[in-house]
Parts: sequence; structure tokens; C-alpha cells
Amino acid sequence: MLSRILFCACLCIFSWQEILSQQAGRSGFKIDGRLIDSTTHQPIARARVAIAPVTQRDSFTTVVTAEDGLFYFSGLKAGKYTLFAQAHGYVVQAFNQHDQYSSSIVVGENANSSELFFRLDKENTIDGTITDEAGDPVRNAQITLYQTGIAGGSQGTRARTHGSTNDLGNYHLGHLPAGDYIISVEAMVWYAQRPQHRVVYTFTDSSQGSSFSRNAFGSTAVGTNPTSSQPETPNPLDVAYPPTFFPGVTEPGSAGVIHLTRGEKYVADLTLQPRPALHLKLPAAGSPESPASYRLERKMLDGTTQGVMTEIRNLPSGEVEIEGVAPGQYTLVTELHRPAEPGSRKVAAADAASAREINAVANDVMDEGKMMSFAAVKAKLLFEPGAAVANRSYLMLYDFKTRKNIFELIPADGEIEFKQTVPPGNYELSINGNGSSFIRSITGTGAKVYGRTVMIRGTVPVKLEITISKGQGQITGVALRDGQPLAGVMIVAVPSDPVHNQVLFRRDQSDSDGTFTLPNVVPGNYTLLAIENGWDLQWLKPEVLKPYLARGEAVQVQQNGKYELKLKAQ
Amino acid sequence: MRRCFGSLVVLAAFIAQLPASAIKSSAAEAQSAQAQTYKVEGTVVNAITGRPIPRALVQWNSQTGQMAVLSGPAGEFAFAGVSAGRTQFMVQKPGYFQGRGGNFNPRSILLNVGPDSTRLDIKLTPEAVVFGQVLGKDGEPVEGATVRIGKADAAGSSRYRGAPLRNGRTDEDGNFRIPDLPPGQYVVALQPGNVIRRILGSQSADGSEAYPAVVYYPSADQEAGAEPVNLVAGQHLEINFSITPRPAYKISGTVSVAQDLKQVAPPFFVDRRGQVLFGTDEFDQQTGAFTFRTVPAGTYTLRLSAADEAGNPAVLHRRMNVHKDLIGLRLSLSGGIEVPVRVRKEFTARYTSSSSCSYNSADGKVHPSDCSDYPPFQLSLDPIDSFNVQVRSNWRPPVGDTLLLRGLQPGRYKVHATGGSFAGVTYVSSLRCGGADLLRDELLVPENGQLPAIEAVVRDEMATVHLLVNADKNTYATVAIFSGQELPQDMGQVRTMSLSADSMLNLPMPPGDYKIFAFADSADIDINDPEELSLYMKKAAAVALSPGKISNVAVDLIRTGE
Repeated sequence: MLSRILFCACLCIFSWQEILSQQAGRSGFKIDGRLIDSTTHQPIARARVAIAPVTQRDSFTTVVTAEDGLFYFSGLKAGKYTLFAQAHGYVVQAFNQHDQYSSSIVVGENANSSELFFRLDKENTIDGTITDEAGDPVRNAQITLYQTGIAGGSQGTRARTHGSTNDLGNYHLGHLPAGDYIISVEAMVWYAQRPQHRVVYTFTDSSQGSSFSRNAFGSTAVGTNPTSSQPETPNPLDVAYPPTFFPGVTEPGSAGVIHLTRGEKYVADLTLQPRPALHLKLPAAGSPESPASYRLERKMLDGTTQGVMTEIRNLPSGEVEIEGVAPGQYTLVTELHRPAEPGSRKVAAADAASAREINAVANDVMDEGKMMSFAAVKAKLLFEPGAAVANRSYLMLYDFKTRKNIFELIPADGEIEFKQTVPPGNYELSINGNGSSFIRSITGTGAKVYGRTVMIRGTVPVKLEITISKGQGQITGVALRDGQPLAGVMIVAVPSDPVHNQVLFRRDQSDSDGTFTLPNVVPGNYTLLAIENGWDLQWLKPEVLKPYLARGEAVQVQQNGKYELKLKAQ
Repeated sequence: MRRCFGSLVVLAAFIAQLPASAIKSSAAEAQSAQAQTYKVEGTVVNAITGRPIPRALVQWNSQTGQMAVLSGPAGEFAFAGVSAGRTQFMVQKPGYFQGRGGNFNPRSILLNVGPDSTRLDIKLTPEAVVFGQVLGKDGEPVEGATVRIGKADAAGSSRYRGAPLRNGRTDEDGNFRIPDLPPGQYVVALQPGNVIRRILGSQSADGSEAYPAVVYYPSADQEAGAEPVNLVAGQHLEINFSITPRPAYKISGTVSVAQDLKQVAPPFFVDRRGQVLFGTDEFDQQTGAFTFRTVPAGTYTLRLSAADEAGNPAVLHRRMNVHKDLIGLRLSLSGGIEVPVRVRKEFTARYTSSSSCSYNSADGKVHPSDCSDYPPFQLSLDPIDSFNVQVRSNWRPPVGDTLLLRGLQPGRYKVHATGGSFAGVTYVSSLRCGGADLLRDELLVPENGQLPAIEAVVRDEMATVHLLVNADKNTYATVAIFSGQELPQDMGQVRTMSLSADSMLNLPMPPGDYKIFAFADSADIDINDPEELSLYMKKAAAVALSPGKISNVAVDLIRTGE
């Protein structure tokens, strides 16, 4: 009931503003200010400043700043506007931007939208040349730039951007904000030779949902040798580059951290050293009825795993040989497939899989780590009246710790069977792009369920029932200090049992009039926090949140509920 | 590495096209020679500068094995223990091409290893590189622009041959670099548009200006105004663009489609080759309403497309001159014209095959087949001088005596009959539409869509040519065969293959008149270039093949530069 009254009140306010804006007449309202360098406070001339109404974020009006950095928008209707700026040599930023949030500017009667100071940070670049052991440029090397630090409420290492080298071995990574960076380089040895093959499997990033594909090209990469019964002699060209980190180390722990502040042009050259490629022999798994597939995965710096391009062949001895990879730490995943139906070209879903961590030191020398088995996961969606998921939505399993992301398309009948088996982990469930519908509850067999978290241990198949309801809530409000609205404050909606419901956190930043909007809040209990200068807080961590929660504002969000709160900034 | 893979695949596909019986080599001779091995030596040098190329990968492979080495500091290499006989050598080095370079020139080097044949000096052609900077208004660098470079149609022509070969992208300083280019004539096009253009990029204060959608080097709007760029091997050429914003307009309207069409795609602007220039800012699939917010002034082609339930596409292209806002356009799209192809099989025998012709019928069940209900050939219709899309005949079995062409739009098409269930045994002997002979002429689909059925005759009495190259037996030749007296416009209709001078090619062909070239493998020619090929027209052998008959043809080897 309360919510409805509040809802009506909101409508009244809006219509009143509408009238006000009409009264403002043809001249309308304005936004003006000065674009300055955040460090030197010097004006930035000939830069673009754009505004877009928050209700229509892609409808931009752009102006170019004058020599003194001034910008000016006039004839505006009352409302909230997002403000962006772009200048050569500066990071593209929204006004007072933190993470993906910024403070919108409110214009209207009594709103102060004049004489803004819009601070831009100078951007950094990293350039470098990748050379091989002979000093020749390495073409097409894949560069991954990781950033370490606090973002989205937690400390971590995240892939920031990618690049690749050109014919001179040069790469260029631009538009980098201040931060700590790590560079990883992966490349193929262009002259590498492998012994004979029959079938080559190529692996794509398994976190992207697909498991493997058979690469017919691979089989033509090397000629056949009819006299294969002869023992193979080691080929000096059978080499591979291990993933290498700047300044030229292969141990992730020894990777150098590049600390960039503002306006730096960092040069990071690197030489790759080939290592003899490994040949790992393993006993074959599976049977003709239930064929096995193998894939080698590698842990990336950001915690994700990535399939490793390798070559796998079946030996007459009944063993399986993996070749073409550099020594290192891997996870070998063995998947058993259900027999394919006759005449069907579809890859049958995997029934079971197991994985073991291996430290591949040299040919056939492996330190075997722990063994784990993967679980087959099925889920059924139960819809409450009016609830629906959009066409081609995905059910996603996300482990916040390992950043493993597994998803499966939701078929029309809502009966989901994951094609990929799921490694052990604590996964939070969500559905992408589901409008106002939300996951109300989860029950399951084969896994413990706490809130949104499903704990998969891999020993038994998992069956989940997921109830979908309609009507997410909305929380709006204003952040206050000493009773006055406060702009640029971090707003966090903390769900109950935050450890198991990280997907339910909601974030915003107060606008120029201190107001904020959290449009899609899944019904449940929340504590709302307004934190000043909390940008470096790991607010996903319970122990970090604890001192703030006591002074937060509790709200119980009902289906379709709309709430308006006054939050004291802490 | 990539390039080498490409070559190998092309080569493999190439050999696979020949019937298994095609190459008859003397087995006995190969057997006795196998006992002998030789040391093969040579060098790898830059074809332009003559300088040695160190660390080039030299590989050989033959019936008896394979081996690979990197060349030394003076470009030198040596293989001990190479068995006598036909041996294939390949050389790779990033930044270089084998032979003269080019997409279709991936020749490996064949050497008939023997007592007098152990030396191999290999020249590699260095790549050309195009690099430069794109500057916009007030000399400001343009970031995120795409630079496309493609082969010009022929010398002096400004048209692309085929799709763009390579793309580059400008960085925040407006710089781009496109390596890996074989020597030749190129057209370079710049597309400044991208997300940045739409957000904060090139719009002026009131959003009424934008950079042109595409600029052909140096500054043309249309491909016809492009100045071809001539690149010689090893050249590093700087090309700079300076672009200025022009007035931009809003275009909006709705697309309506015929009843049977579903899956309406958002409209977008394309260039002459169907490459996307820019897409809609808003599109509603339910109502077909679309908006382009910022279209720079110019003449464009708008592409509308939809598909029926079976996935057959319907496409309509509309030329549009944009010099003011165009609001409330109403565009309609129909499923296109449907034309039946009536097939008469004049076979002297019934052809079946037990191998893997079973198919999944519409009800999802596996339907056993002896291949006789497969289409005896396929038609593909390639649009000429228009923005229509390629149309193919239905290929799914079962087909009776009629194939269907769906989704035709008014315009001219080039017709190709290919493949079929018994390719190599049967051929299309006649293909007519009204008075037009579609084996020779193009198909004209009139504006009113009225088109008689296409009548096809398929026959089985293929002719056979036994082809022998007049040359020393240690020589290898590249053979090109085409039908008629003149080179066809479409080089895709020229069959090419490689054979050694001591073997005979046994090739089934549809009856008719043919011309055959045989170039020495060392010849300096791009056999996919019609202009180069036409220079040697007089040296081609002419042959008339009759149904069911074998014709023996001996062709003289052409060496270039003689």
C-alpha cells in the first residue's frame, strides 16, 4: 500500500515538473561549465562535450569547447541529463564518473546546472615490440592487458583490453586510465612443426559457452608419413612459446606490474623464447558407445580458464597424445559424450566430465594435481502468472570467485540441459535480458542452494527448479548530508545474505540534486547505503560492509513495489 | 603461418578435384628410384633485392616422408637423404610470398629429385605495406576508421576484383597500417563511421554534420572515382586521407513485407559490393519502423531484406539521393520472383550410388536414398551490375524433374551450373530460358517479373581428354582449360591444375570446344589474371571434344619471357 501512495506521489512530481518546464518558455534551461584537466586544472579546448536525457541515453547533443574550455547547452527541457566529454589524449568520461556510474545533471527551476567543473583525466598508452629469439618481429601475437585493483566493489585482476602485433611486431594499447596493469603475450611459433596428425581439435574459450570444435584444416597442416611405425626423432622445430608476461617472464607470479598515472606513454618490449613443445601421453577414456573428448585449459590471470590450442591424437597403443603446447600448468578436461543419434550431426551433450590439474614439466613428465569431476546440470523454469523470459534468453551460472561463466540457451519449453558439464564451484544463477521478470526462488537436487547460489560439487547430476515471477521493484531517493541533497555519492543496495546473492546488489551514484534511481530491484530485503568517497571500498565483502550496514536504511521490496528513500550519507 | 595454411588447403582441395585415376605415373620407375637418395641444396633470396633470406622455413614432402629446416644466415639450406622422385618443396617466411605473390598463386615448387636435379634456388617476393594517417576537421586525427584495400579489377580500372583483401583500423592518432599485400593494383577505401561517430565523434553542435560514409582514395564518393594505387613488391607506401564533415540528414520510415515473409532484417546502407556502410539507429521488428539519425549527404543504396519461413531470402536495393531529411518513407518488399527449372535427363544408364546419400526429410526422419533423387546439378545466379544477391536452386533432396529458383529480383544475372550428384559423369548440355542460352548468355529478369520456365537438359556421355604436356620429364606444368574460343569474362570458369610432364591427365569434360594452356611451373605468370593469360592465346592448344569419345591432346609447354 505504501508503495502505491509513493508511486502516485512520484507521478505528481513529474507532472508538476512538466508544467514548470512549459512555464520556462521557449528559452528553456541550460547546462554550462568548464572542461579542465584533472591534474593541471588547465582548460581543455576544442574538446567535445555531449549531453543526453537520461531517458534517452543515445540521443546526444554535442558541443565543442572554446579556447577557455567553456561549454554551454541552452534551450533544454527540465529533466536529468547525462554529461560526457571526449578530448584527444584524455579518457572518455561521464561527469564525475566512477566505475560505470556518474552523476547526471538536473536542470529545471531551482536546479543548479551552471558553472560546472568537468574534470578529465589524461589517458595513458602502452606500446611495444614483440620479437622472437632471433630478433625477428613476431606477427599476430595476441596481447592481453590486465588491470588489477578495485572495481565493482571487489579487488581483482581483470582483462582490460586486447591487442595484436603488426608486421613490425608492434602493438599499441590506447585509452588507458590511471591504474596498475599487467601484459600477457601469446603467440604461435610461425615455423613450428609437429609430427604427423590426423585430427586437430581447436578449443574456444569454454567460458563463452561452447566446448570444442573439430578443425578440419588442422589435418592438412602437416603431411602424412606412411612410415609412422618408425620411432619419431625429436624435431628442433617442434617448439611453442609459453604465455609470457612483461618484462619477459613465464611465471604469472613474477609478472611485472606497470603503474600508470596520467599522460604516460609506456614502452613494453618483450622477447619470446620458444620451448620444446610437449608430447603428453595419457590413457584414453571413453568407449565407442560413449566417446571421449579432451581439452586442455589454462588459468588466465583474471581467474578465468581458457581453452588452449593444441593438437590431440589417438595412438594405436590406445593412448591419447597431446602435443604442441609449451610446458606449464594446465587442467585437462575429459568429457564423455552420449552416443550420437544415427543420422544426426549434432554434437551430443556431454554426460559426464572429469578434470585434473597437471603440471606438465617435460615430455610425459607430469605432476598430477587434484582430480575433480564435473556435473551434468539440468534446470526447469516454472513461470508464475504473467512471468516470461525473452526469446533467446540464457540461463547463466557465474562463480564470483573463479569468474567461470557458463550459460545455456533457454528453450521454449523452459527445460534446460547444459551441454557443457559444470566444474565444482559456487555459482550464482541469473537470466539475461528478462525484462521485469526475475528469479523468485531456486530449489534443487544434487546441489545445495542458498539464495541465488548453487553449490555444485560434481559428484552427482544437478537438477534445479527455478521459479520465475514478474514485477521487479524500483527504489528511488535522495542522498543527504546535514539535511541537504548531496551529489556524487555512491549508492549501494545490499541484499540480505549478501555472500550468496551477489547478483542482487544494485549500484548507483547520486545526481546533481542528490537523487538516485535503482530501476530493477529483485523483490526481497535490502539495506540501502549512501557512502561518500567510497570508490575504493570492496563493498561486495561482508566485513567491509559491516560498519556501514548499521547506519543504512532497510527496505523490504515487494513485487512491483516502488520506494522512495532519504539516505544519510556516511 | 596463416598464409602457409591457406596455400596448403588450396593445394589439397585442388588435387582432390581430380578423379583418382587422373594421374598415371609410372609406379615401377618410382619404386626403383626410391632406393636412391640425394642431398638437395639451395638458397632462399629476396626476389627484388637478391639478398639472402635467413630463417626462412623450407619444407619438402613426398611419398617417402617430409622434413623442414630454417635457412641459414646466407639463406642457405640443405637436406640430406631426399629420395629420388617427385618432391614438393615449400618455403615460408612472414612478410614474403611464394612465387610472385597473390591470393591465387600459392605454388609449391616441384622438383623431380635425381642425379642431375638436386639444386633449388628459391626467390620469395616481399610483401607490400600501405600505411598512413586519417585526419578530419581542423586536422584532428580520426580514430576507429576502417581502411579497406582490395585488388583493382584490372590495370587502370578503379573497381575492386572480389572482396577487399585486407582491412586496417585507425588508432587514436589516426594511424593505420596494412601489411601482407602482394604486388598489384589496389583500390583503397576509408569508412570513417563507427560507434564513436555516433556518440561523440563527428557530429557538430546541432548534429547536422557527419563525415562521409565512405571515401575512395584519394577523395571520391563513388568507387568509379577512385585512383588505383600501384604497389610493387616490397614497397611501403604512405597514403593519407583528409576528410571534411558534410551536412547530414535524418531518414526514417517503415518497411512492409509480403505475407509470406518473416524475419525482417533492419535496413542498412551498402556500397556497390554489398559491404555495409552504416546501419539503423532504431529499428522495430514488429512494425518495420526504422530511423537513421545522421546520414551524411550523398547517393546511397539502401538494402532491405527479409526471409520466408524456409529461410529463402528476399532482398531489395533502392538507390537514394540524400540531400534533405527523408521522413515517413514507406518501403515494401516482396518475396521476389519464382522460376521453375524443368530438367530433362537424357541418360544412357541409371546412375545410383550406395554411398551416403541418405538425408533427413522434412519430418526429421532419415530417408534412405541411392542418390537418384538428388539434384543432377545446381544453379547459382550471380547478379551483374546490381545490388541483388546470389540466388541458388534448391539443393535438398528429394527433387523430381523440377528445381526451383526463388527470390529473384529484376536485373541481370550470370548463370552457373555446377556439381550435382554425379558430377564428372553427367553434365548440363543445354540450359535455356525462352530465347536465351544460359550456358553462354546472362539471364535478364524483367521489371514485370514475367519469365518463362528454364529448360535444362542433362546428359551423361561425357567426353574424355587425355592430356600430355610436351616437355622434359623433369618439368612440372600448370594447365588451364576453358571452353569456347575466347577467355571467359569470369575466370572462375577456367579450370586449372598442375601436373608433371611425364604423367598423363585423364579428364572427363562436357563435349565442346576447348582451349588449353600449359605453363612451365617456373613461368612468371598469374594464371588467374585474364589480361596476362590473353597474351599467350596463340600458344594455347585447341581441341574439340565429342560425346562419349576420348581425345588425345598434347600441349606444348609455354615458358614466359621467350
